[in-house]
Amino acid sequence: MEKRIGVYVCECGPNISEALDIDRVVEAVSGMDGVVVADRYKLLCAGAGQQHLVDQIKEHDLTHLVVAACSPKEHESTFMSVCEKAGINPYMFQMANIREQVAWVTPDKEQATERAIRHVRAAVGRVIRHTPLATREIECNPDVLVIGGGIAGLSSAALLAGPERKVYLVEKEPALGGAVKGYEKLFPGMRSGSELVQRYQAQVEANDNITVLTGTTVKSILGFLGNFEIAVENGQGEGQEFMVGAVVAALGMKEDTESLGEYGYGEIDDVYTALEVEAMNLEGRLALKNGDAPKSVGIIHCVGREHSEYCSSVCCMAGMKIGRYLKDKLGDVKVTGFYRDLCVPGCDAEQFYRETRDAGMEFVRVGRVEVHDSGNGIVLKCGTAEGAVKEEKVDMVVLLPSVQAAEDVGALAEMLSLPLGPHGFMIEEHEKLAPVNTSMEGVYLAGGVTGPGTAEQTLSQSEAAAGRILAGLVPGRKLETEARVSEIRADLCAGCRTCLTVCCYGAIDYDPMKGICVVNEVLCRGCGNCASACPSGAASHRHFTSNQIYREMAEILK
Amino acid sequence: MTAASSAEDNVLVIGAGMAGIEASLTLAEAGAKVYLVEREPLFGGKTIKYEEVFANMECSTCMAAPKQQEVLQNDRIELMTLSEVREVKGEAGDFTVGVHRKARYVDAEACIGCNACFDPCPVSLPNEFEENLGERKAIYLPCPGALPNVPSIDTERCVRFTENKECTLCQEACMFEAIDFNQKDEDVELKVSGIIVATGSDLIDSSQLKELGYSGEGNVYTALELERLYASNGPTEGTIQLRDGRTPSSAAIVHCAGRKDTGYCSAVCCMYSLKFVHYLKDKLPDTTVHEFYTDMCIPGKKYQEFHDRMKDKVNLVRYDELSVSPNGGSVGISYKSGAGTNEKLDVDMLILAPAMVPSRGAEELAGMLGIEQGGRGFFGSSTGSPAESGKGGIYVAGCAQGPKDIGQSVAQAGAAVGRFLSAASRGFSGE
Amino acid sequence: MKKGYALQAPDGVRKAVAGFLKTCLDKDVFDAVLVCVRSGSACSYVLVQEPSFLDTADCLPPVMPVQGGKAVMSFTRHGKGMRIGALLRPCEIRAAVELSKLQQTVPENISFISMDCEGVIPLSDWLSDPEAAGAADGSGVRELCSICEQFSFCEDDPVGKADLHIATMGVAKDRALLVPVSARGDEILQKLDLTPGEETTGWVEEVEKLRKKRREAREESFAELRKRVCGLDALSEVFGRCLECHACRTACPICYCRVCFAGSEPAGDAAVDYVRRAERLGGSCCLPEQLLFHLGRMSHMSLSCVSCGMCEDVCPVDIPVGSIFSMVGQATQGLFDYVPGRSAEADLPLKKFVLDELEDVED
Repeated sequence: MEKRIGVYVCECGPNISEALDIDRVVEAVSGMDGVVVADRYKLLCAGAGQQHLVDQIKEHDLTHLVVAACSPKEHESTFMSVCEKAGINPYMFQMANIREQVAWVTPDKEQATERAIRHVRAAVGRVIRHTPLATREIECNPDVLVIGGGIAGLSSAALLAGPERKVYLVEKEPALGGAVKGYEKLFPGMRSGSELVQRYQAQVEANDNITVLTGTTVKSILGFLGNFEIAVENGQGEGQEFMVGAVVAALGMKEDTESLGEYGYGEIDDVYTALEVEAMNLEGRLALKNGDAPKSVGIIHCVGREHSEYCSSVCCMAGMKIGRYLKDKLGDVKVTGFYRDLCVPGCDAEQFYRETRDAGMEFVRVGRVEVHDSGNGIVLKCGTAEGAVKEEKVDMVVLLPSVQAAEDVGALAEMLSLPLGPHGFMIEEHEKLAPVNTSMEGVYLAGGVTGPGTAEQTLSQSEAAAGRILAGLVPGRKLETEARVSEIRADLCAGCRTCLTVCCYGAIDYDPMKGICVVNEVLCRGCGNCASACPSGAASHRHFTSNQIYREMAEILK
Repeated sequence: MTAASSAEDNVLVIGAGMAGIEASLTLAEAGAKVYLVEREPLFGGKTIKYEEVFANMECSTCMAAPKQQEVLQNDRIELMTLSEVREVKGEAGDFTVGVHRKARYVDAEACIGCNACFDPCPVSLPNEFEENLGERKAIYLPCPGALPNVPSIDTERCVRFTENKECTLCQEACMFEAIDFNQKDEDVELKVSGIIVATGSDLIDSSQLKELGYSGEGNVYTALELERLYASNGPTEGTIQLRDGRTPSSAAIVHCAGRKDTGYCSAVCCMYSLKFVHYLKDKLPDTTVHEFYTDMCIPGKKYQEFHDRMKDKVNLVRYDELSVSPNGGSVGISYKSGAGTNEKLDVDMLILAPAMVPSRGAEELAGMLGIEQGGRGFFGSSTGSPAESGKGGIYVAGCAQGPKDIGQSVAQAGAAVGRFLSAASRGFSGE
Repeated sequence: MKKGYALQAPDGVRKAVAGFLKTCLDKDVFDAVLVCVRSGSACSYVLVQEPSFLDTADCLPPVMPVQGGKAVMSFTRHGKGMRIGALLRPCEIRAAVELSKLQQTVPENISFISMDCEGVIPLSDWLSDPEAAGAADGSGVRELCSICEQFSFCEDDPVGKADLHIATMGVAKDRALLVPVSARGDEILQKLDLTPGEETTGWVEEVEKLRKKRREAREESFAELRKRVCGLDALSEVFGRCLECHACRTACPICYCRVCFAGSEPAGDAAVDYVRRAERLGGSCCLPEQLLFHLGRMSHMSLSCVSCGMCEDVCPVDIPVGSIFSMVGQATQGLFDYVPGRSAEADLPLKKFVLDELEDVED
C-alpha cells in the first residue's frame, strides 16, 4: 500500500516559531520519501488545530501522521485521537519534540533549527516503519482471593465482597484474627484488640459473598489479572479450585527469632518475647515461671536490629503497651524500657508515650544490652552512649525482636514468581506511587507481608488494595490490553528463555509443547527488556522494532 | 459552570496533592466523575516543592508529573484550581457542596503557557511558593513546570484590582488573547455522593519558635526553604547560597523544631533531614554538615539503609535542649548534648525541621463537613480505619489525617476510595 | 586422589575405548553411545545402538568435524530420551553444559565420558593427509588446542560435567585409565564389574605439567594477538576479508539461535540499501556489516565461549576468529568469575541479576 505521510510543524506561539526557522524545517522534510505534504500551523493542540489535522488527513488521503511540537507527554494522546477521528490507526503516528528538547534547550536559532530538522526527519523515518496496532478486550473475573485472615485480610474482604463479586478468604490457622486477636489492647489508644478483630470478622461472617476457608493454604496460583486459577488445600488434604480476578496477599508478620539467643532466650528463665507476654497477658498470667509476680521487668528494644538492619516500626510502642499491661495488672512493679531511639511518629504516639511514663514506666537510653544470669536473678548490663556500663537487676526480661514477613511469604512469592526484597518482605511496585501493588498486575499486598507497620498502616494498605480492585476489576467490564507490547515470533524462537528470565512482570510464559516462549499481552507493560535480551530478534517490541529505531537513528546521525 | 443534576457517581476530592491525585485517578478508573478542588493556582501539593524524595532520592517532580498529566488528561476528573469549599449540606450518597471558584483571568483554552505576560507586569512581590526566596509578578506561575501551565492574576496585588488602574500590559503582551479581565469569581454547586478530604498539612510557623532564631531574613532556614534552594526549578536554580550571597562552608540541621509545642513527632523529618545531608553534600561537597536530633525515627524496611549511607557524611549529634542566636555573620547554636554536657557550635547555615501541622483552614473545613478534628487538629476519628472521618460518606486521606510520608498518604488515599466505593455499592447503608 | 581402572589396550587406546563402549552397550549400561567415527575421509558423530558396529568402527579420529556439544543438542533438544553414553572432548562437554542453561540440550540421561585431549588437527590439514595422527608432542593441532588448559579433568578445579574420564597422559602406552568422576561414573564401573584400583598420581602430574606449559603459551599468544587486533582500525583490517559466509556461526556450538540476528528480519534491515548508505556516509563497502556481525556474535556468546576453535578451523579466509573470541571470552568471563561449562548449576551471568557486580567497570 502506498505510504502517504503528512508532516505538520506547530508554531506553539513564540515558543517554537521564535526559537527556530520553521520554514526550513518544513522544507527539509518535504522531499523525504513518502511525504506528500509538509506544512506549519499556529497551534495544533487547540480545537481548531486538531480539526485542521483531521481535514488534512482526509484531504491528502494520509496514511501516516507526524507532528512536530511539544512533548509527547503533553499531546501524544491528543493527536492519536485525531488520527482515530480521521480514520487512520492511531499508532501510525509519531511526534517529534522540538519544544522541550530543542526550542527550550538552546537560544541559538541556527543550532535549534539544525537540530529540529534532525528530530523531524527522524520521526518521518521512523513512522514509515510503524505497523497498525490494536488493543484487545478480554473477559475478566471480578472475584478475589484474599490470603490471610488477620485484620488486613478481613478488612479487605469486607470492603470487596458484594453480590457481583465473591471473595475467598483463605486462612491457614483454624481461627480468623491473625496477630491482633492475640493483643488485649492496641496502641496508641489502648483500645481493645479483640474488638477491632470482631468488628471486621462480624462483617465478614455476615457477608454471604465471602467464602471463609480456615485451616486452608494456597497450593498454586496460575494465570494473570482477571484470570487467575487458584488451588487450595485444607488440613485433611481436600482440595478446591476456583477462578478469581485478583489476589490480595495479607499473610502478616512474625517475630524474628534469630537473635533471641543472644539475649539469653531459651537459656535463662523468664526471658520472654513480646508475643509471649501478650499471650500471657490475655490468659491473665503475667507471672514468672515459678508463678510469682515479677517485681521488676526490663523491656529491651531493638533486639536483632544489627542483623535485620531496619527499624521494625512497632516495637517501641509495643514495649510501652506491655509496660502498661504490667503496671495496670501488677501495680507495684518496676518496669523499665531499655531503648536506643524512641520511635513514636504520628499525632497520637508521643502522647501514648507520655501517658505510659505517667503510669510509671521508666525509660533508659542505652547502647547494647547484655542479659546475664547472676545465679540470683537476671542482670542487665547496658552500655551507654558515653561508654559507661550500667547494671540493672530484673526478675523478668521482655525482648522486642525485629518483625519479619510471615513464614509462608517465600512460598507465596515463588508461586507468583515474584522476588522478595533484601529483608524478606514482598516488594511493592513503587514505594510512593504504588505502595500496595506488585509488579504483577492483579496481585496486591497489605500489612506485614510487605513491611513492618502499625495496625493503622495495615488497614490503610488493605483497604487501598480493596479500592484498587473495586475500581479496576469491575463486574461486566472487559479489560483492555495495551497495544504497544512485545511479541515473540514463534518461528524464530529457540526457547532459551532468556527473555523470560529478564521479564520483571511475569509476562512471558514458556510453552513446553512447542519449546518456545510466548508473551502474555495482558501482563506485558512494553518495557522491551525481552527484545533487547533476545539474541536472535525473535522477541521484539511492536512499537519499538529494530527497524524503526535504526531508521530514526540513521536520520538523526545523517 | 458544572452543576451536576444528581449526586450518583460524583465524588468530591478536596486537595490535589499526591493523596488527592491518587484518590481521583482511582475513582475515575472506577467510573466516577471526580471534582478535584484545589485552592492553589497549581496542583501537586508539597511533593512538587521537593527536588528529590527519600529514600532512593528519586526526582520528585519526575515522579509526580506523569500522575499530574494523567489527571489533566482524564475526562472524568474535573480539576478546579483556585477553588475552595464554602458549604457542605446533606449526607452520604447525597451531598450538596458549594465551591467558590476564584477567577484566573486567563483563558485556559487559549493560553499556551509561553510566559510572555510576566515580563511587562509592573508589580513584583515575594513568591510564596518559593518560600519568599524569589519573586513573582501579579500575573504569575508559581514555578517553572507548574501545572496547569496557565498563569493567574493575584487580585490582591494586581493594580487593576488594588488601585483600580486600567493597566493592560499583560494582555497586550499575549499573542493568543488569552487574558480576560472580564472573568468573574463564581460559586458553583456540586452534587456528590461522597467526599474525600486530602488537604495535606503545613509546617509550623517557625518564627514562633523563639529560641530557634528564625526570622525569614537571616541564615536560619526552614526545611521548605532549603528544598526550594536545592530545587533545579527554584529561585536559585539549585544553587545553595545564603541570603547574603555567601556559600556556606558549614551547616546544621535541627530536628524536632516545634515538637514541644505540638506534642507529637512529625514522622518524616528525620528522613528528610538525612536527605538534606545528601542535598548539601551534593552541591557543596566540602561543607561540614551537623545534624542535631533527639531520637532517630526511621521506621520501615527501607529507611535505615539510607541512614547508614548518610551517617558518615554528617556529624550526628543527639541533643536535649537547643537554642539559636546570631553570632556575627554566623549562626550560634547552644545545646545540651545527649550526654548532658553544654556545648556550643557556630555554623554558616542552620536548617530547621519544623513540626507538621494541619493545613491552614482545617478547622473551618472540619466545621463545614461536620467531621472531628483530633486533639492535634488533624481530621479523622480514632475508632477504626484511618480513612474514616467519623461521618458517613466522608473520608480522609494523607497528611490531613496526621503526619506521614508520601507512600503512606497514597495508600491511605486508596483506602478512602476503597471505603467509598464499597459503601456506595451498598447505597451507603450502615454509614 | 581418585583411583582409575586400567583398561588394557594391546591394539591401541582407540580400539580399547571402542571396545569399552561396546561392552557398555552389551551390558545395557547405555541404550546408545555417541562417538566420533571415521569413515574413509569423512568423519562424524554417530549415535550407535547396535553394539557390533563398534567392532569395526574407527573411533576417535584426531579431528573434530562437528563440535560435540552441537551433536548432543541434535539428539536431546526435544527432551530427555534414551540413556546415552557420550564420548566427548572436554570442550565439547562444556559446550553441552552451557547449552543446557539455554534449554537447547537436556543432559539428564546422558553420561559424559571425557578424555585427555591432545588437541585436534585442523580440518584442512587432515583433509590433505587423512593418515595424519598428530605428532606425539601435540604440535600440528588447532591453534586454540595448543594453548588449551582444559584438556583433561582435574580434581581440584573440576570443569565440566564428566561422569567418567579416560586418562592417557602419563599412563603406559598399553593401557588407559578409566577414572570415575561423578557418582554416575562410579555406578557405570560398578555395573560393569570394574573396580578402579590403579594409582593416578602419574597422570595427575603429567596433566599439571602440560597445563603449566599451555598456560604460558596462552599468555604469550594472546599478548601477540592483542597487539594485532587492538583498536577499531586493527579489527577492521583483520575482519576485512570476512566473506560473511557465517561458517563460524554454523560451526559454533554456542550459537543456538534458529535465525541469527544478522539476517533476522525483526532484528534489523534484511536488505541493505547500499546507495542510501553511500549517500549518508559518503561511501559504502559491499558487505558493510562484517565487523558488526562479529562484534554482535561476540557480545551474545562470549560468556559461554569454550575456546574449542571450531570457528577458526572452518573459516575459509583464515581469520583468527577463534583466538580473538577466546581472548575476549577470557576477559569477559573473568569479569563475572564465570567459567563456561564448569557447573550446570551456575547461572549464565546475563540471565542472573546481581546487585553488586561489575563495580570496577562502573568507575
